[in-house]
Amino acid sequence: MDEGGGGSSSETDALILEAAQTARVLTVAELQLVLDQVAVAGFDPGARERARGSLAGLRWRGQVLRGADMLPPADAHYLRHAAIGQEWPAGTTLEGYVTSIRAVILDERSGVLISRYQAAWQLTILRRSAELQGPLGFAWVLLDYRLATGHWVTAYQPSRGLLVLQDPRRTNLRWLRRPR
Amino acid sequence: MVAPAAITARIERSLTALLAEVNDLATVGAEWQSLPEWNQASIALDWSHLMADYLTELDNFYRSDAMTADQQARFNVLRGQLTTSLPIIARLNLYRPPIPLDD
Repeated sequence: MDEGGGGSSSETDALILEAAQTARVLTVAELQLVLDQVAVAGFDPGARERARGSLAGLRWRGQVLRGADMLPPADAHYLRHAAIGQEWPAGTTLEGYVTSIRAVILDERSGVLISRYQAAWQLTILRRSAELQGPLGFAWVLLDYRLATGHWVTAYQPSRGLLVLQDPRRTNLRWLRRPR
Repeated sequence: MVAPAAITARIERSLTALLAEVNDLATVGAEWQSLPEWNQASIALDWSHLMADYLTELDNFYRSDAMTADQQARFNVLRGQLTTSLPIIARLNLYRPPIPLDD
């Protein structure tokens, strides 16, 4: 997919892999190319995941969700983290959730981290939640992008201390840019 | 101790979410091998968030006496269910609960 930013997903993924595997420092322009591509990637509109756990019983798009129902990942993660979790401000819509994630990706204050998660490379972008912290939100916003699929995997608000980054399933961590 | 409304809301949100997700673990375990790897990663990442953020915060509220008796009882039910779920958590290589599961 190449919807802007000046680089194709294959070119930007190659840059990410090069930074991960050779420890080469990306230039400012190269990092921006990567982030522009990740920002437009979004959740995979053709994928589906089950309305598991807390989504079952929720009314969404005119129907009460059952645990076996299949949803686009954007809907599933919006419902889980914003609508039900209230990690985002009250009244945040699905479009607002996605737009806010794009803004975090493109925010110069955001940190950018490369790591391997369950044997696949991921790019993680995180920033202090600030105006995005909802009534039950936490101190940071985090987005994981998976190179193998070229799409976002999830976006939520981790707490102060970023304990989630100490998950032993996440290995080969390397900061491409520290959060400010 | 009567907790401020904001704390009560956080406790209720996290208890409800965690109990629902733990109750669904058996189904997740049964379908795991049929799931594409991106979906396994999505489940694992969201589980990590629940463990590292929701559960640790709940434990802090529990130990600081911010929960009602009913919430304490539900928290103990959750801890019991997490204990029962440890084998499946290990089998799916999910983030192990980072809090004591008994007092």
